[in-house]
Amino acid sequence: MAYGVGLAKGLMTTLKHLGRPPVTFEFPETERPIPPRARTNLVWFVERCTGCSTCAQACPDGCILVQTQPREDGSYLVERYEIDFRLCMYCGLCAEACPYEAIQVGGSYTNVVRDPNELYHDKPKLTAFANNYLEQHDWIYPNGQPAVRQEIHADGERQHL
Amino acid sequence: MADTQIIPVPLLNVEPPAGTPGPGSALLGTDIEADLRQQLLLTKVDSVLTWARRSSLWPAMFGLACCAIEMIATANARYDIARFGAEVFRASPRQADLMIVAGTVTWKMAPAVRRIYLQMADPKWVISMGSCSNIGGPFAHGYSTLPGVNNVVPVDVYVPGCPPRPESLLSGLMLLQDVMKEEGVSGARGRPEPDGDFSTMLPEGDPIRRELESLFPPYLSLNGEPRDPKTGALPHDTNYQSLSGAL
Repeated sequence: MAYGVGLAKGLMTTLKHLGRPPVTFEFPETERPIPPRARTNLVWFVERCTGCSTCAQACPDGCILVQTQPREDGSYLVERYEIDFRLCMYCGLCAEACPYEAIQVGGSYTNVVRDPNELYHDKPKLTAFANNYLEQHDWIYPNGQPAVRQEIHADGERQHL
Repeated sequence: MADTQIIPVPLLNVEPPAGTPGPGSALLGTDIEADLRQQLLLTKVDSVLTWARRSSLWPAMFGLACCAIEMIATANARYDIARFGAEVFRASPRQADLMIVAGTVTWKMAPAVRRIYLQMADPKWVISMGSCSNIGGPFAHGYSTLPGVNNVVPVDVYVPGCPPRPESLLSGLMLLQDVMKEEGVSGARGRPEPDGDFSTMLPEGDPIRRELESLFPPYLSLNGEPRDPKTGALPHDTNYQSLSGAL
């Protein structure tokens, strides 16, 4: 065995890596692509929700609150829908349980705060968050279905754009 | 130089101002920033110092649970926390500016977390990372977990997630840098201080409660004995007593 072969092999690895592009994602400027089933923030869509509260029963932390009232036609009016993101462990069991896919994973993950109570999202906040999501994602739900272009207010009133 | 009126006052021999709680606060709980605010006028120096501080935040290297894995991932080349000047994870809290509470804070660990915070040199900042340290997370109603790390240390920035993605932690770091820029060197801190009252969470006579309360002002001993006002020594601490005799 000739002297220095191991050294040459090691330096070859170094040389190969010298020409490689950097692997760093410079986060605020370039974001890493998120896999479609990654468990990020939850997005709740008032127009898909029937108020069955299956999500609240599936939640292991008990951080979802649903309060409904029956309408004349037998359907439910969702009076309150609140998610406590201080408690939420982002397991996605609510999204799996929801029969109408009204709550879906795929939201933003940069919602850092200075006051932890800002992480308690009530219905107007969740609706604004969902509207914001749809506007940014060309009116396509996180599960890939197309959404109707409309602005939905927290009280359920719809306004077509 | 005739019109500048900066009066240097020796910082070490400052008498504690009236209203400072407890004996020994001149030694133990001295807020150097408060002294600076009273004694010096800082304008341009303030912005330069703030820039230097927020561009070289050195975190203390400790992790409590799975969030620490994401913290390590943030330090790796893919996300590279070094781009924000916070890559120097110090193994000693004496050299650290930033405490990233990454993980579940159990009652058993809470005095250690408080002690690490007290050992860090002023100025110091705290990021609470993950649902567990924010409010207890999935263990919030359990018997063994602290309901939020803000009960033992003042928290500047809360990062939600379980665990948070590295991007979330970087967002928290950037928010903290904005907070530091906004508050400046001489400005007041906007974060709430913990009150050190654990009577609603732990029973009377609990050893962990006794240890935790000894780590809050006025820093009484585990038996409730006051410290020496000159040296901060406890009554049974014979080494410090002989030292104070020598002084």
